[in-house]
Amino acid sequence: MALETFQYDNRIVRNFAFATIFWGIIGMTVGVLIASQLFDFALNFGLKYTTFGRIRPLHTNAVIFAFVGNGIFMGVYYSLQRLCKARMYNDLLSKLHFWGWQLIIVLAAISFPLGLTTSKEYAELEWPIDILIAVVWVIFGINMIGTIMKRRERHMYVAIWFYIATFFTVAMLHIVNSFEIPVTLTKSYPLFAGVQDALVQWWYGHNAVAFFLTTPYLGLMYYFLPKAAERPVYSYRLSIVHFWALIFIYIWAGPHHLLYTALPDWAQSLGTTLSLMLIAPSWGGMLNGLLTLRGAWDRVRKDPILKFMVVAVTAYGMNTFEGPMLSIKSINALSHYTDWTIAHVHVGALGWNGFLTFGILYWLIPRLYKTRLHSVKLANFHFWIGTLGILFYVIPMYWAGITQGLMWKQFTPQGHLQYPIFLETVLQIIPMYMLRAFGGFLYLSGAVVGVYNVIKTVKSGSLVAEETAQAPALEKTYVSHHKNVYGHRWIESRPVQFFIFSVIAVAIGTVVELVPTFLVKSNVPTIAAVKPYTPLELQGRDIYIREGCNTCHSQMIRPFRSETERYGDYSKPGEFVYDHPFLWGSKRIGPDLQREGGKYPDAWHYKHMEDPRSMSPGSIMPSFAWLIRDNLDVSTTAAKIRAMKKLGVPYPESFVDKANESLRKQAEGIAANLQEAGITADPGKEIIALIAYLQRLGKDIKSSQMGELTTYDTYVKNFSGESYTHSGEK
Amino acid sequence: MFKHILESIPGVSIWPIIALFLFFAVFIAMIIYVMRMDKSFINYMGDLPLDSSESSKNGDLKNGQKTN
Repeated sequence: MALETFQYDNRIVRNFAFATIFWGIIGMTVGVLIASQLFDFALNFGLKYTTFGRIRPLHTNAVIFAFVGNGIFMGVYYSLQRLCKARMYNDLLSKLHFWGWQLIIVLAAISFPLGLTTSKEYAELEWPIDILIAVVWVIFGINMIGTIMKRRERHMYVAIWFYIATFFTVAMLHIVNSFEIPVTLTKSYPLFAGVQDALVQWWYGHNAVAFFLTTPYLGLMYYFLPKAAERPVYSYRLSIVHFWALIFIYIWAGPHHLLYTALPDWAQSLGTTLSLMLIAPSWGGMLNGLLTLRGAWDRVRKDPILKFMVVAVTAYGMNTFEGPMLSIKSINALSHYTDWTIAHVHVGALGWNGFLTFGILYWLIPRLYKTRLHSVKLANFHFWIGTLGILFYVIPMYWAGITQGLMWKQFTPQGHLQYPIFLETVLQIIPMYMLRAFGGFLYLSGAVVGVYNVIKTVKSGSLVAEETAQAPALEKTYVSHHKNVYGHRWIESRPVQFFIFSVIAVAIGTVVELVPTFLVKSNVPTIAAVKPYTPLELQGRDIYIREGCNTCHSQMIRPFRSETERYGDYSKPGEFVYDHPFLWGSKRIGPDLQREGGKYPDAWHYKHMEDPRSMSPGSIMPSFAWLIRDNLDVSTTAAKIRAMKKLGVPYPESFVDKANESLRKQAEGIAANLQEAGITADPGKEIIALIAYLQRLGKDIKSSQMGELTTYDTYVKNFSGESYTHSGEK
Repeated sequence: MFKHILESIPGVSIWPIIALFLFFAVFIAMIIYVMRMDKSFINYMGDLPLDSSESSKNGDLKNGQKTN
């Protein structure tokens, strides 16, 4: 076979590497800021754009999709070319992919502070950006598969398998979770409601962890760890088992985010079982990574790259042990909604993703620039301060999570809640929040030192943008020289078959979980008393979403006595049938709000939003004073009601035109209530809508039990009746 | 819509059990299969990322050319 000469595209790898570093620093800085806001509420500087609810998604998205995302592409573009012995399929696609992805990140960084969010965790971006993500992701997929198709190495190394599975699964997750009806250019409602929306969201959310933070990074581990250790992976056999078992099982585990919620029981049990099974492939992969260093441990003592990688793989192992443990219902009962979850995810983000990224960067940058790392000492310093940062981060968070979880559940011997005031349990863990922010700061400092080291390294060399390589072309007909590998080769040397098999593996879990929940009506028993929102409440709900209230407040009371005592009757699936999107939340920085309606008078909410400490001294909630100043935008009301009708919410036929009239009427009622309490408020302000929504929460069942009219009866049903004439006001 | 067709599937809730067995069957079969794989092929695949050995081959060819 004649040798072919070709060039590897190193410039695109370099670009992604720089983007990884840049966004990493941004994402971590925002992380330190929001961590600090938890012990000093004033750190939003009085701005609505920097409140915790709005920029917490900025932090998570920046770390996941900007830092780790660019890290994935950096590693894939480097390793794929070399494993395929081919240049990337198309340079233009590479460029479009790079700049498209950066554009998405910039749009996210602008839209989150503006409060444009869908409220769905890790999928907060609004619909136009969702479409852009899909387009850019497909460009990446075409570029990757094109490269695989024109490869000069017959066999696809296991890393490539992980990349292919990542591409397909993320595409599927993103598309299904983004089914939404646009209302305006910056606002949409998801197709699904309540329980179904929650299940789709956590099927997505969990697998975003699985197929964005895990599988592509495992691919990188299988390539860069052997590279750095200069020895082949411990067991290639194990890596095959690791791959298939992992992608098959991972997709099932989503419901473990919804244990003890209103999700059907069978789906919860399924999530738990499959989560426990995940330990096997995950640990197989971890051991495979660590044992790759057999006989090279002496080098780990000196080489910071290997140190980073060893801690990364160890963190992966700890995390994938802890995850299944947290999926056990009795443990989840304590851990859920607490900082334990935050500790868990940061072992993954800081340890596994962060440290593997740093390890790869320190290995890669000198090679791209044909030079030596500027300072091994500084890299070692980065390693140690980063490790210390992780410890200072996670230990206080475990402490805080377990402490608060136990306090929530503690009863006195007389059978009352020991800590009935939620705030008490928050103030108890403030010192832990301070330590956590310090840990984050240490980790960030390490990264900054890393940036300096990279800049110095880059300056000492010059970029090898085009790296020449040679390999023979693939021969058309292929006769194997190995025994007993027929079936395997049938899959792994044929990308298309391989792709189909991976699709089947991830599709089975998806179908089994999602289809019955959507189709079996008995899974979501309807409750006659539960009514749609009035136009004012709907607008208030959208303000709740805009401000990211669900970031800190759950709306899901689990069936424990400690929760029903504190918050009221536990949540039922039928209560959420009109919730597009669901707002169950995943963390209680503040108390649950599902039965908030009627607990306090309107004036309490008004004052509490203006200055939370006036109503609950010591509160760590930021002030939302702009809600009192800003006018409610009612130009969208009709469009919102129309969109809801399209989604199946049964507003009366003629109601769309009367929606704003009804909204005004209800707002005047609330303004009158406030007036009685001595507060003069303009009924056209945003605060009025938010109060309407908060006062509605959990009221339907109570109202019907007491034979009272609901706000829906007053402001929607009777309003649209023909006997009711209000046309003079139009 | 297709919803109504799928809705009428009797015992749709048995799917999880079937899927679990399916998984175990596939898992066991895969382990047996992987155990029986040819050692030289495994070594070849494991060496793919490393410069020293990837020099030689694509497929099973050994032509000793340096490619990287």
